[in-house]
Parts: sequence; C-alpha cells; structure tokens
Amino acid sequence: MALLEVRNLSKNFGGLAAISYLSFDVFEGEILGLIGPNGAGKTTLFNVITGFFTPNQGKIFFEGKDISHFKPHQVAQRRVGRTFQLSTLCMRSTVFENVFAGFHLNYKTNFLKAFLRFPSACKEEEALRERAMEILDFMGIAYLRDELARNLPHGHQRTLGVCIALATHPKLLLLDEPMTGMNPEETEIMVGLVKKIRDSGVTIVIVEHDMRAVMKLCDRIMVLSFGQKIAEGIPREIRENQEVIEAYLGKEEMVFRVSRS
Amino acid sequence: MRKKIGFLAGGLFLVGIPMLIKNPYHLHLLIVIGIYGILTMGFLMQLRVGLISMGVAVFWGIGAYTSALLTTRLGFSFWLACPLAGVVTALIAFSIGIIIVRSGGISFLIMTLALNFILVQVLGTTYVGLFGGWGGITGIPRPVLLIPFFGSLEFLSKTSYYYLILLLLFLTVIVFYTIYHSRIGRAFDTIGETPTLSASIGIDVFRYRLMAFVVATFFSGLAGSFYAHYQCFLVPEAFDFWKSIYLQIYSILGGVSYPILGSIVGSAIAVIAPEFLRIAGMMEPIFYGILILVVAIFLPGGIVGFLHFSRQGRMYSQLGKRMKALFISFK
Repeated sequence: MALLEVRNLSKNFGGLAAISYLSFDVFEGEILGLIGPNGAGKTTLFNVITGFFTPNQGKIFFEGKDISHFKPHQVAQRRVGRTFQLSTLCMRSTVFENVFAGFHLNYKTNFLKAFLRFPSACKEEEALRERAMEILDFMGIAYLRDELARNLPHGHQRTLGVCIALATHPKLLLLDEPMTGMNPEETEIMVGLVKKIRDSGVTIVIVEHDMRAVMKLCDRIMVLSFGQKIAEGIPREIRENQEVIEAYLGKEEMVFRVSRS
Repeated sequence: MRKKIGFLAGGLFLVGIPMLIKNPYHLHLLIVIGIYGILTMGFLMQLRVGLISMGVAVFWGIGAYTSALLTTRLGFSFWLACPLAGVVTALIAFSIGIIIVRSGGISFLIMTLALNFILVQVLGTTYVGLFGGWGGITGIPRPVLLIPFFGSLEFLSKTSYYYLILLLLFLTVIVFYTIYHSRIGRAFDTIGETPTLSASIGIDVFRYRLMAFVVATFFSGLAGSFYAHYQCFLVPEAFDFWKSIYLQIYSILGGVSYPILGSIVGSAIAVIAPEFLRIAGMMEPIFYGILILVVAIFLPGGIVGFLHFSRQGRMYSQLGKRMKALFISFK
C-alpha cells in the first residue's frame, strides 16, 4: 500500500482549475520529484495535501486514512512535514529556537506538567534540546545556532526550513523548492542531505526547478502542467518525454514561428 | 541564578515601598500602575499570538461589573467575588472568542473595538435597574479580611490596597512568566510570527490563540474586580475604548517585546510622567504626546528594550541608526 494516495483531486480558484482530477501514489521510502512550469499547481498541491486548502473534489489518503478535509495542524499530527516556498521562519528568533519550536508535537508530558515544571517535563526539554542540536548538526548549520533567522542568507534559511520540518519527526516530508537561492556547491550538499534524510526512513516529495538536482535526486518524477499530470516515471524517461519538453519549451511549431518573425 | 536574585530583590523592594512612601496619593499612583500593569500584560499576551485587541477595557469592565453586582446585589464577599469575576470574564471571553479569535488579524481588531462600544452602551442604557445606567453602581463595599482570633480588617488605607494589588500583580506575573517560559509560550511566539509555519508543525493555531485570549481576559477580570472595590463606584465611561488605546500606548512605552517587565514599566511611566508634566499646565498633553513620540521613534524597543540594549552595548548604534533615518526622512 502506498504511503500517500491521491485520488481524483481537484482544486479550483474561482474559474481557474489549479489542480484537476489528479491521481498519484507516493510509496514508502522513495523520493518523488514534482516538476512543471510555473503555475502548474505544484505548490497548490502541497497546500491541499497539508490542509491549507480544502480540495473541491477527490480524496487524499495518508497511511490508508482519509485526510482530505483535515486542518493543517491535524495533517501535521499525522506526521506529514512540509517546508514553504517562501522562507517561513520565526525571523526574530535564533536558528536554535526555530528548530526547537518544531518539536511541538514531540512532547509526551502533558500541558499541566509543562506548566508546573515537573522534573519529567524539564528532563524531556533537555533531551529535545540535544535533539535540536543533532538536527542542526545533521543539516550542517550548527555553527549558526545563535544567529537570528532573519540575518541568514537565503540558502541557509531554506536549510533551516528543512530543519524545522525534520523536528516534527515526519514520515512524509514535502519540500517546496528547498534549493532556491543556493549556489551549485550548496545544492550539491542539499542533494546529499535529502538523500540522507530519505535513508533515515522519511519519504520525500520534492518540488524543485533545478533540473540537474532533481534528476540526480529523485527515484521517480511526476510532471504537472496546468494542474494535470502529463508524465510520470524514472528520471531518464521524463528527460526524453516529448510532452514534457513541449510543456517546458512550448510546441515546436510555436518556437519555429516565433523565431521566423 | 542572577535572575532569581533580581526577582527576589525587586519583590522585596515592592513589598517595602509603603514603608518609604507615606503620601497616600503616591500610593494611589502605584495602585493604578498595578492595575494598568495587569491589563497591559493581558494586551501583550494577546499581541504575542498575533491578536491586536482594541478591547482590553471590555473585559476589565466585565470583571468590574460582575464583581460589583455580586457584592452589592447578591451580598457576596470580595474574596469570593474577585475570583468569580475572573471566571465569569473568562467564560464570556471564551464564548465570544470562539467567534472572533478564529478570524484573527484585522477583523479581530475591529470586532474587539466594536465590543468596546457595545459594552459601554449596554452598561449605560440597558437594564438600568441592574447596571445603574450612566450613573453606574455606587456603594460597592470595600474588601474585609476576616482573620481568625483577630477580628476583621477592612481595607480603608491605601497601604492595604497596595498590598492587595501587589498580590494580584505577583500572581499575574508568575502565571504569565511560567506560560512564556514553557512550551506553550514557545508555541505563542511561533504563532505570533508565522501562523502558517505553526500550523505546519502541528500547532492548533485557533486553540492557542483562544487560550491566550482567555488567560489574558481572566486576569483583566481580576483587575476589574479589584478596581471596582478600590474605587467603590463604577461608571460605564471608565471602560470606554480610549482606555484600551491608552493601554496599547503603555505597552509601546514599556516595550512590546518584553511582555511582563515592559507592561509594568510602561504603565509606571505613563502614570508617573503626567505628574511631572503637570507644571506645564495646559500644555501637558502636548508634552505627553512628545514623550510618546520620542519613545516610539528613538526607542523602538520601548524603555525596557532600551535598557536591555544599552547593557549589551548596542544602544548607540540603534540610536544612531534611528537618528539617521529620521534625518533622511526630514530632508
């Protein structure tokens, strides 16, 4: 059984169909790449899956459970983590505090114990502090722990976004363009990190415009165009798919006509 | 450890103040600072989760009227009426909050503002027999402390009231401090900055916002109850929306990012400054306005933020930056 099943999903904004009748599966332990031209509905798809938008039609199953009408925090409670296209961080907090905030779901002691500061709650917090440092170490930004998030360069902000998502201990991680604002070396490192995250048992869906990174990273790629799936397969198939090339570059005749005039 | 000693010293100092200050008017000012401090703390807790409340005075008023009605009409003692006022205020806030907190942002602001007008109108014009109309409620009994084997102690002097408000203030500070320094406070911070991110890491934004709203209003209700029994009379105009605006100004004076110390320092400055400005006579409001402007422009972190920064030696760079920005804007 697939980890995430999307069936006949549609999302309209007024008359605009951002996603129409989309069905696909995400299998456990894979990295699924999601590509397509701008406005293809990739981010909308993420927002629908994580509950920020409610779908107009169709169902989303996570571990066999229907999550299509869940609220964002309920989806997160099912251990679906995500990052955002625009860096969405606590800009006034430090890097460490940002990651620490991500542990919200990981507390086992209850509210009252936390409020009254029972020893068990304090001990738990201590353990989570260490875990936060582990995550920062893992993502290679531990040396920035006391830096304010707003002072970070864009690339590091993206990395921090991934750190926060990792702190929620997700089973499925949706990464929305994690490599924007990174130079080729950083992208290379990020590719390695995403692979490592996958190897630690997290299934990943990634939206990315850096084709080289996507081809290197993904086990499978799905191509969206105007809210519809136009191709799905291993990277090599996608690269040679005529429809995909058309979607990205326009039809051949069009190119021809433009170049003539 | 240093922090704890600081807290202890500050607490002892506050407890000892009546020994130093004999003038009842000065004590009265301190009592007012206490009330406004609690209310401003409530405002800042709501601000922390991204709710800009224009109706802090609403729940202050509800607390005050509840307590006044319970004591004058039903004959409750203050010691029962005060917590009940808090609970009733919190319950009302909860039922209103379910509707208005959900929207958040600007609509919360407008709705709390509307609530403020509604409250004053309701208290002034409806159920005149109960609420006393625009004339308000008079003859609210002073709290009487019954001490076994000693007799009763009526709160007549300012000193006794001072200790009562100090107790309330301590209670509020302790509760707020624990909230801010637990994972609930961390969730508050995250929600205040980015509700989207908070939802994506599993925080139920609505529930936490409602919680902040209810906790803040509970303590506003307590402060209201104290106010009713301190003044011994209530009029609806005391809770008009200007009070809510003033409380926001106090929080800016103190420092918005310092939700506990900032509120107290801010209300202290706001209450004490007019006393010094009184020599200006008719010009007093102008000087008061200038003071607020100066703080807002040159000390964007408020007074507490200024002191905090200056200890870290960053004050001058901040000030310089502001001066430069101002200079450019004037050019």
